Amino acid sequence: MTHEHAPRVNHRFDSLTINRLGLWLFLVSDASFFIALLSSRFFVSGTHTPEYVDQVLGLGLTILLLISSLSAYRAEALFEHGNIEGAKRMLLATIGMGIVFVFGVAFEWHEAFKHFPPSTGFGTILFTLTGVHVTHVVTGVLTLGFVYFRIRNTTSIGDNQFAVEGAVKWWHFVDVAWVFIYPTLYLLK
Amino acid sequence: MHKTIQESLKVGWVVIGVLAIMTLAEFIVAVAVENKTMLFTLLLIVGLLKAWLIIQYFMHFGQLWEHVSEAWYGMISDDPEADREED
Amino acid sequence: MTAFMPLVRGIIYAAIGYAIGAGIALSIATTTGEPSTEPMIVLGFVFAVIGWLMGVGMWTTWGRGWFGKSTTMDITGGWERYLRFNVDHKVIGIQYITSLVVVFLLAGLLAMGMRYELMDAGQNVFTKTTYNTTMSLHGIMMVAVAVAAVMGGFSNYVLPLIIGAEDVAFPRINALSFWVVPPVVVLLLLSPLFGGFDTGWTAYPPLATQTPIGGLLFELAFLTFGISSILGGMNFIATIITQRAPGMTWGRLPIFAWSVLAASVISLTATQWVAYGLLMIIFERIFNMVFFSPPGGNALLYEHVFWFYSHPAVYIMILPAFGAELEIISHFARKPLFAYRWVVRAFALIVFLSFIVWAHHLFTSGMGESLHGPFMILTELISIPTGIVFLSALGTLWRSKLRLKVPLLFALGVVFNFSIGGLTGIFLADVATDIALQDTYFVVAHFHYTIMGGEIFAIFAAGYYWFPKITGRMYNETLGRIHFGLMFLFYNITFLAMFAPGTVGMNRRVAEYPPEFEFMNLITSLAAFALGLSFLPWIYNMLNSWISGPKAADNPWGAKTLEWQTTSPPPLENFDEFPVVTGDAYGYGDESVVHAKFPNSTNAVPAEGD
Repeated sequence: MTHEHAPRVNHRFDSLTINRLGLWLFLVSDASFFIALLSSRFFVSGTHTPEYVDQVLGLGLTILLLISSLSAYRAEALFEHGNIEGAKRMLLATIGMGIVFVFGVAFEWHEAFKHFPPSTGFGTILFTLTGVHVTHVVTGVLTLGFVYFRIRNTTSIGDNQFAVEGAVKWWHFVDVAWVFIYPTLYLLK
Repeated sequence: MHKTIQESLKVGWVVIGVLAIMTLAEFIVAVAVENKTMLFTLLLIVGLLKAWLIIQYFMHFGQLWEHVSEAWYGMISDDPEADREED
Repeated sequence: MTAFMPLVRGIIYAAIGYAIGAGIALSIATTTGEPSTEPMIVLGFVFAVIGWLMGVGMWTTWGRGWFGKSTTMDITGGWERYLRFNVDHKVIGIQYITSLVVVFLLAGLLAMGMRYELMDAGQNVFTKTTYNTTMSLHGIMMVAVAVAAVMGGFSNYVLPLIIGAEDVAFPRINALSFWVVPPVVVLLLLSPLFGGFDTGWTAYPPLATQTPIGGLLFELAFLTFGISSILGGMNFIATIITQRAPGMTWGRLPIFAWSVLAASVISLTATQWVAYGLLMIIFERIFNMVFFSPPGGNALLYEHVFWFYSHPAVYIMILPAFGAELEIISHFARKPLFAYRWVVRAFALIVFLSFIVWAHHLFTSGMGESLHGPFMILTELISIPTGIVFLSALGTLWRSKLRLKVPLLFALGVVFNFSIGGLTGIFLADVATDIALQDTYFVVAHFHYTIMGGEIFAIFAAGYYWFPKITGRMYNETLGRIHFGLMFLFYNITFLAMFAPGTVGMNRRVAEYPPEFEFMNLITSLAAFALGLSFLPWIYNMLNSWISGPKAADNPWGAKTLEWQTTSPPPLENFDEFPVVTGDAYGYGDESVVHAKFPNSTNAVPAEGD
């Protein structure tokens, strides 16, 4: 995301810092949305979790997303040190795990329809929380895909630093959101 | 930013290790603890710690602070330099 | 004709987008079950907005860059630059202001219709549903004006200038946040054709989940408007943190910039809650979820989530209005702003408190009674920081030699009107009186005193104040005074007369009412019509002066803040030479205080007097 506009500026901040600040502010805003989501769980179905909830799947999805966060972290670190090939491999690994995660949620929805469809209290919450989260995952996968597309033929960092960093931060944010969604949906009694 | 690539990658492994242990702890706590309030509190603490680890080490929150602090110090007084010397 | 190409392309792309989205929804629905219209509208609208944005120019100025292709950014040109995706904050500010003036006038006409119906007790021209649709549309359109006219319009135009920057931090996101507004207005105007919605702008379920398609259009419009508000808030915070001129320390930041920062914090975080509230309603409509229906669901959830945004939202509206008001009072009183630092602290305290008072809207909703006391006390605490803002205005006015120009008249109007609005608010914050007054015309009069008497008057003050800077021409002072006199007089008659039937229990949101309230309602209606007519001299004045008014000086008010230290209107990058800030913005009466210097040129900032 280059910033060609207005080369004349009257301030001391480089565009990377400004972009970082903007992204963090947006993440704060989005976190506020997730707080609203999570708090509605307690309003609609208290802390009760039905026993049909697939604990193995929940734990598996959590571990998968955490590992993908590590590969995303490695992608960013390698890219910043100029190892573009390594960064591309790690990006692909992250994208792959993201796609598996989406299929995992799809499987979960398929099962959930049998025990708690959206017209029940817990179903409402489960489908909304996982639905909003998986939307974030899909945007994350698409963003990482864009970034891979942008850096596929490059050999240096160039003007892609914020593209990589921003996409990876977004992916970590998706992970942070899941860190709270997982216990809220699966572990409470 | 100022680390070597080996150091950076090592931080990644350490953090993911701690996150794995905490996720396991979370799961065990959920199986073992019966008291609802107790369970909620424990899960919240573990969740906040995990989130902090990701935000601090994976998302480099400190990096943002490093650059924005210049503006922040200006907020405390009219002279940015004076405040920084006091620290 | 080429000037309209971006708009035409936007409409065509929006139509294509709608067809794609609705087609996807239809094909999913036919494979899984019975197709219904509402999911098609929702998905179609999402794609239509994307198509619209790309069509008006987001694709060429921004989108191509995502794929590593070259982008073109055309920011020069005459009037046709207002009709396309333009990243110049001054253009965006004017785009916001002009489109919201149109929305304001339309919503005002709806109010005229309502007052016509309420002239006598019976039911005349409106049915109950059309009356409530009119009322709801008036509400949401005025809320849009109140949120975006000052935050989107004047902040966009003035904020980068007042902090000495060449633009906002994210010019393209800024353009994006304006261009999602036209679809919002279109949806709102379409909704009466699809059955309308009789829920009021608050859209409480379960009624909101049962309205015709018109209700769904309103919910989508509100949700989209929220996106604009969030992106705007993000942009202003980043701008104030990073784009200030050298030497513009936090202690020298003009109070208007502080107020925009405070409002942006609320706009950034709280708006997500109303987005979630509306999303819940849409989910309940199209997926049959049970957020609000028993067992499990509870309609109170919506009220909590909704007011967690909508109470802070009134501070998104009023904080920049306070900022503009104090700015104008200081410059026209020729005195330093009284208690500047305390006002900044008061803004911070208002932001903090605004998040923990929402449940005072739920005193009669069946919320747990243990919550009544705490929320009553927290709500009443807000009068402390608000009082500090008032003291600052009064302290600045105290023993000053006022220049009674039109902007100052409106700013003084804010002081008068908002004090009535604030004092009547105490009765609504207090549980015992609120239980009697809730849902009556007392509430209607109260919030019109705070938002219209406070914010809209401040918007007019800001409009007259910055008119010479924005247009480069001077408005007609006499017409401005006539506008102020008529508006102030009839505004006060209209809404003071509403308190009376409110205190004895006349319900709001009704087309028919008991005949004993007829006399006061007749007075209100007649005054309201006169209030409506009072905008005619303003419209004439603005249009005529913009086209053929006398050329304005660069600094007609002799103000010290940075937006007046450049040409009127400012050049493309705001300053021919960038300023360096060296002192306080309100150093009137002290020759040694110089707000800004231009190191390479001789035009020093004018000292005292014109």
